[in-house]
Amino acid sequence: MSEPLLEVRDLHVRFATRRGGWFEARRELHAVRGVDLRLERGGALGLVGESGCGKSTVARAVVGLQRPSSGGVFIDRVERSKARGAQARELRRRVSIVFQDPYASLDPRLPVSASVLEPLAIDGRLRARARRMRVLAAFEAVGLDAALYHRYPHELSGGQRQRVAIARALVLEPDLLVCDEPTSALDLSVRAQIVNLLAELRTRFGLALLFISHDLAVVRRLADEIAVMYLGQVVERAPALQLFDAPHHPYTKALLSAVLAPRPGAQAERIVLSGEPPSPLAPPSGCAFHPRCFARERAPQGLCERETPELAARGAQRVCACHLPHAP
Amino acid sequence: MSLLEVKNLRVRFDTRRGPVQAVEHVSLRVERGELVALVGESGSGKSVSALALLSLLPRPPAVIETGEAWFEGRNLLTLGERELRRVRGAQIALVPQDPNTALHPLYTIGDQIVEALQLHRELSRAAARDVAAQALSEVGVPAARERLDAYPHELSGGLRQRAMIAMAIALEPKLLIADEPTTALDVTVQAQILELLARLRRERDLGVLLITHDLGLVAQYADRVGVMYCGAIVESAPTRELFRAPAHPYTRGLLASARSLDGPQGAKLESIGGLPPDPLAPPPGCAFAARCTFAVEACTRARPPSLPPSGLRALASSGVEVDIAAERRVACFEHERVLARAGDLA
Amino acid sequence: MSERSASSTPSWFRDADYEFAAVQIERLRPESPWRKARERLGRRASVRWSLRFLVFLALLSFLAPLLPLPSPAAITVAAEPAPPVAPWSAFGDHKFVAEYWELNPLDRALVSLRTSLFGKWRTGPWLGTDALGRDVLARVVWGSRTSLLVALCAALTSLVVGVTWGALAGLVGGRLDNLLMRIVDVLFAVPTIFIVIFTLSFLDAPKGAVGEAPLLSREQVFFLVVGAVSWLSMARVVRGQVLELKRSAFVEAARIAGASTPWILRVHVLPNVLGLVIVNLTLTLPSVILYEAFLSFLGLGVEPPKVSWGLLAAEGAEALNPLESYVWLIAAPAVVMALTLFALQTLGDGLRDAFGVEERSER
Repeated sequence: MSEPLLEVRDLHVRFATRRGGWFEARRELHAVRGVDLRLERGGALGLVGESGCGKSTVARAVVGLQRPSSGGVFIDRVERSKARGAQARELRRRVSIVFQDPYASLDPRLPVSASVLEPLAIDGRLRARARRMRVLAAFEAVGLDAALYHRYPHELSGGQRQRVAIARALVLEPDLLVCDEPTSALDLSVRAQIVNLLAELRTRFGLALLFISHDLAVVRRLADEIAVMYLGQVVERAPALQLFDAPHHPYTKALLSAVLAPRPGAQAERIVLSGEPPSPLAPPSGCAFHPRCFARERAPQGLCERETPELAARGAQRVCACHLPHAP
Repeated sequence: MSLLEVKNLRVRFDTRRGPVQAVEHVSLRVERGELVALVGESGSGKSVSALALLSLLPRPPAVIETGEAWFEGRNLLTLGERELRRVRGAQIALVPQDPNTALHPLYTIGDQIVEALQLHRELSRAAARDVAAQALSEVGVPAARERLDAYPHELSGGLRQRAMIAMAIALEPKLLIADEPTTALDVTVQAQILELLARLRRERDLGVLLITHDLGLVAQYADRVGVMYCGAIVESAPTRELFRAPAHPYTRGLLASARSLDGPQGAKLESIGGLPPDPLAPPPGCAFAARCTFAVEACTRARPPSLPPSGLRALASSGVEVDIAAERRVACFEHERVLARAGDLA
Repeated sequence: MSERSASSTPSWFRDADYEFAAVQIERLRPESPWRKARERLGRRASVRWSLRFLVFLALLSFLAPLLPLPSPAAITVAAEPAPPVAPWSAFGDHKFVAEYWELNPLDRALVSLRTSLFGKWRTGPWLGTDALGRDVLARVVWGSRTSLLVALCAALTSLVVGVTWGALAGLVGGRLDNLLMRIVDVLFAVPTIFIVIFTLSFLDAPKGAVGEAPLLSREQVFFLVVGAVSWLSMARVVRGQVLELKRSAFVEAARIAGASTPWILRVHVLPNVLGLVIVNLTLTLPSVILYEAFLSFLGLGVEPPKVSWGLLAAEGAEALNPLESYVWLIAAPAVVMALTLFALQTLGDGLRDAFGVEERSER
């Protein structure tokens, strides 16, 4: 399969802000600054990074909620923002989304079956009873009891609601499922259930997954490949195992070490970053991470402040954007 | 004498649809300089317990049925409002869950800290500002004096949480209750906040009651842990012991689930099947029985009492490293079988 | 991983397995949210009584010509206001005179039906009579017609114009939103009473010879003005709610699935603004009724011989003098109006509770 299912090429997204207060008028928020991604059919790409890094914006662009300022999102070589009519409809069928907050993503006034029926009704290809059949089949696929068909979202638990959201995303048999923090709003014991479900659905239906999570453990479980984002750029991308075993980029190292292991005393040396995450409205010069980077001293004087590092290949499957060579 | 000792706390909510037992039975202890974690999922009653201690629950609909909360020789639950106000903030500080909603959006953080200070101490505004600036820099807010005049929305999540902690420690309380202090924050910021709490605890001999659902947090920072389910503490133990040899099936389930996330890439995650019971219709026996893989018939008939576990000796002799002298309690009829399986937990 | 196109490969789902279940599940549809709302509405006694009162009043007002009341317009010159007489002392008499202002065909039919049913019998002066010998009870009942009609007019405009206006502005946003809302702002800013006075004088002007009817009666002008302004607050309120809904995840999910704006409006927005709409309505109606009373009191609303509560209150107030207190003349319309407004408010409260967002789970 040489042709990737999803390709993001040099994506830039800029927002115009009109804030008064302590921002100057008419500032531009450069949320996504040149992101390239590739996802094969049936693959799973995890997008990690902290708030403000732009990962949600990238996901929204992939799904069609956000128009790129430049660059493009290509689904099977078709550019999303340029598609019209039937082609656009087909694209919408092929990419669906699961949101973070399962309560907010379901209309509280509709029974959950209506929420799952909606994409089918809009698509219009199946008739009424066939649609209901499909919904019931989707319920079973996600492990929901058919008895919940007529219930309202507030009558369901968080885990059940998320399953409804997943059922809704599956109902048109998409090729790519985008998940924006699918487990963050859920309880611990339910998190594992949902992650298992997503993995199972992926193997069962050959779904490709693009998911965002700040929970590295979830990412590790689901992803084949991981892209780490910082302030609108991809700073490292590698197969999951490689990334976890030997992160190259200093930010990745800090991120991984910040995760607390549920094992007393097993914590490796923790890197505690200094300073606050930068604001996308005023990005640092050169490498966006340099003000907080703990490895900066190893670089030639001033290099990190002056020059933005390119995403360079490191080994066969990894890319990393850092001036410094890898040091474990 | 312990810094804080809670005995037999029971809290009921009288809702329109019927009474809900939010806190079934909670007894816990926090010593000076100790960090005790209260772990549980949403609805387990952990936040309610903390709020009940400081009489911060709206009553009605909340009703504190029984319980004592001994702090410095006084029972907090019997104190009048005036006495309580003196305790709150100055002796026991609460860092609430969401810094976004806990800070007043229309006042600068300096004003808010100063307000707290002036409520409890005879301080001029200038002096109070000094103390506030000191507290802010203590918690690691850069350019603390300038930040006094910042509004909450101008600060990042991490800074806001630090500001809340500053407000909490400015009056040098003896006990800090932190309700999910890092849930709303990024991972790297979480690390910073926790290091901060750990340092404060060391430097000031502060007692901390940490409410969380994050087992990683608990493993790295807590001295002792209480695990809550459906309003009751089902197990309590020193951290190391709890993680090494859990005695309650729920604890075991949580640990297995959390650890499996760490496991090999393709492996299926352990999860606890089923759902918690409806709070309006609690089952007659153990609340966890329906989801419990160790359950026997006796579990559905009566609530297991909270007792020191037996079977530790046997476990130790089988090669698992446990401290048989550790102070532990567990509320489970079948805990011995659970302990026996401790070796299975990777 | 197999390649799939839209229709060639077999579906993931074995839909056919669920045919039976699909049929069953439709039958199991539980009580609709309307019924639940109705049940919640009936919970409080005050709400139940308010509803009964309003229904009763509406019936009374609609059937006014049919009721065996004295004529509200029959004048007995040189009479003095007579105080109320208890029903058991003066139950009725046979002095009915069918004197009315110009009635529409339906009302005329009802009147003739009344005369054939009750003949010359009419109820006694249970609420007294005024200085022109007109029965106060009859006038209050007939007066309610105007008030309720005004309320209806305001409600309809609010619902039809206000809701669509606000929803459209909120959903579409951008320049359309700006335009629509500036219109609302301008209309809001102008004091309605000036519009009324202005329109009245303007429309009175082309009266040529004395006795020639003006273009529009006072009443019609009044209804026009009420219609023109009563939808404004609804538009604003709905727009606010729609703006919030627009950002919600389920609307985004619908958009991702390809929902068009009309679809989102119909399926997601309208049901979710319903509660707000009802609440706003129950706030506007009482104020509209009061406003009518106010205008009529000033002489700018309904004209005699037609009657409205405001007019009655005006007459009653005029008749007050330090020598004789004809309290009943002002008390009757005032009390009835107060009861109606109170009932509307209570009903509004009840409706808001009934349609309120479902309680989130106790956790």
